[in-house]
Amino acid sequence: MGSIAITTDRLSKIYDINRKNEVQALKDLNLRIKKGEIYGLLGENGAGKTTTVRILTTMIKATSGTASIFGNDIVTDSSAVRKLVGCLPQDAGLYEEFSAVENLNFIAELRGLYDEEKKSQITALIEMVGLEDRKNDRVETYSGGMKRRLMIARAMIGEPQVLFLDEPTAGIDVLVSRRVREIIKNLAKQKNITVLLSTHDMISAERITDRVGVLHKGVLIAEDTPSRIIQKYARDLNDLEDAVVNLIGWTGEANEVSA
Amino acid sequence: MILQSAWIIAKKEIRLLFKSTRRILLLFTTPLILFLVFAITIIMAVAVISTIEEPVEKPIEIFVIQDDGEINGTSWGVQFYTLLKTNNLTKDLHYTNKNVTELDRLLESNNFSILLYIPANFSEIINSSLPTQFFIYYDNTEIDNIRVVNYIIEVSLILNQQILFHYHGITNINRIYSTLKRTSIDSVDSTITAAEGFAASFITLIPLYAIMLLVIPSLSLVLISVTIEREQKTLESLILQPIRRRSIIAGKLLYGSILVCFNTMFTVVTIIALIALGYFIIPSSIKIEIVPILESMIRNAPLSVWIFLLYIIIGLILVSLLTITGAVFFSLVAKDEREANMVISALIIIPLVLTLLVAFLPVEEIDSVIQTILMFLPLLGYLFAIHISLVTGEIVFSAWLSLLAQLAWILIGIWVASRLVESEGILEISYKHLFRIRRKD
Repeated sequence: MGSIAITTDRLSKIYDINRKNEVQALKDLNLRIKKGEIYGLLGENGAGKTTTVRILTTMIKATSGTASIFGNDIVTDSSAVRKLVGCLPQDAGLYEEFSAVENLNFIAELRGLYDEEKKSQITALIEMVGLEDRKNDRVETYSGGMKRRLMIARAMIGEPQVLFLDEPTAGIDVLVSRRVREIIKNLAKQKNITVLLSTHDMISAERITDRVGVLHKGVLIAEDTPSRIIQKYARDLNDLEDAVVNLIGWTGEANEVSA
Repeated sequence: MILQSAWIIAKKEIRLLFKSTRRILLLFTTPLILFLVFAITIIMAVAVISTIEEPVEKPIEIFVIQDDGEINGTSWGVQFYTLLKTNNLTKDLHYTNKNVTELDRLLESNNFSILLYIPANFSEIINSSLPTQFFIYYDNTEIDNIRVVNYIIEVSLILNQQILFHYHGITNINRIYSTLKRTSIDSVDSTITAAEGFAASFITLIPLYAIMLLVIPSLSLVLISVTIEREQKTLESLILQPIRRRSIIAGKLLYGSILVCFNTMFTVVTIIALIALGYFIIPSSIKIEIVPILESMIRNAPLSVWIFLLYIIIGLILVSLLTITGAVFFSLVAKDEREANMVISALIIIPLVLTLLVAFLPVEEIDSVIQTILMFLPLLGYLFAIHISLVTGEIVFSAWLSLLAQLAWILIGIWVASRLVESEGILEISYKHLFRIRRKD
């Protein structure tokens, strides 16, 4: 740790739902995420987590504010940024008729990997996510958990320095979820990769993140280590979920009063 | 860089194509259809030919009756016989002189191929430069009558003679009539123009069917390749890669172009194979008749025909690319394969109906400005330009401009599709939201 991997300054995004109604998805977001850190982005549906991930991975443009990955501006150096980041989008899919190897092969070529380098990375990633036995089977025959693991491997192709994971444990059972958590944790610790984890899964956030930020209606309302967030905001139960629920509840009440 | 990424994407599409039976079938649709049609035609032709008894080649009997004898060494019968012999080299001609007393019996018996009757005093009257008549009775299913007729007209014009033709057997009277009347009766000319116009209308449709056969299967495959990215949610991971987003469009276009090339090549090979097969199956007696005609057609084709063929080929290439570009754009907007299929149906039906209308449009009644505008339309403009060229008998300047217009439409299509894929709303885009996303950009 030490150098800053992800920086955002007053990052805002306004969606034009129809020509009259505008929705502020993100408002003045300021983040500093260190290299090798696992940062959890928490919040209810529509809080702005996916928007943040999409802006930082150059999929969409911010309405205002700036952001950079290892000093590369996400707008002016978008190509360099995309080389530095790997991403598992929320609703990502795989080529169902391809095998795991073929899926990874395609992305590897797009990222400029060829021959031995490509082969060795694919072999290592398939081993990392535990799909060696099924690596040549069509993805359409995989379970949801296997697909999710393959998606993580795909996001890791090209050895990115920053990994964005948008709901990596959504829709998978507890056993697979635990496996995915282990993979993420190992990635960060062994390869010193920075991970931005956008999730509803409080267990994952509590167990593997170094710090969490809580978004509510596009505003970062709290940021600290999971233990401190629990300490500050948990009431009935001494866990992160209780803390986040209370935090959002308070802010919501405060907003209602001020409104 | 864009080309490299495009090639990787196109390669991926080709690999995916061979993973699906449905897509493989689509790829081979045209050759399969052609193979079936040709195979059925050949089987039927062979079945029909085998039931027909091989006709015994009878010599062509030419009877000449010269009632005027020979004056100044001129024998009109020998002269016409020589002419017939020259124009029917492959035929076995038997020449017999008959007496004038046999004329009625011969006509009644109908047992001749040609009966040439030179009436009494024919040469004498000609030498006096006065009008007279001679008679040719013949079966034009056996004699190359057009050349004979043309020659007789030339001779008759010089001699100022009136020609009387009498036919028997199965005759192609219309053809001879038109040849004769073209030189004298103006009213026939309009009939010929109308008939030629009608033929031009049908020929105009040929490139459309070529497009449908060669491009539509590829177009469907490109549509599937684009919509599947959205349906399997792989588009998001694709645009996250360190490549220019427009290389996704380039990749799909490259894939479509490869498919069109493959389809065309495979179709041509299928046609050649079937023609070769047909050549060995068809009886030699028919081959003797057909081959010289084909050889003569190719040898005698004027330069304008080859230029016209070149025009059609260049146009087909451009229109293929245009159709593929359209497929990429429309399927990019479609939210799923069902919606994309609706679009492809429209892409097929609308030009088909419009081409039918355009092909049978009375060209002379359309203002030249409107004609030029019509030629600038995508796809339809090319077909209309062919129609105009066929009707006028030359490739007009605006027809060449029509090709440039097709190229312009391709570039516009690529530009719009690139803009679309670069817009941030690409993942949520639908026909309903198209204009709103454009505004956001």
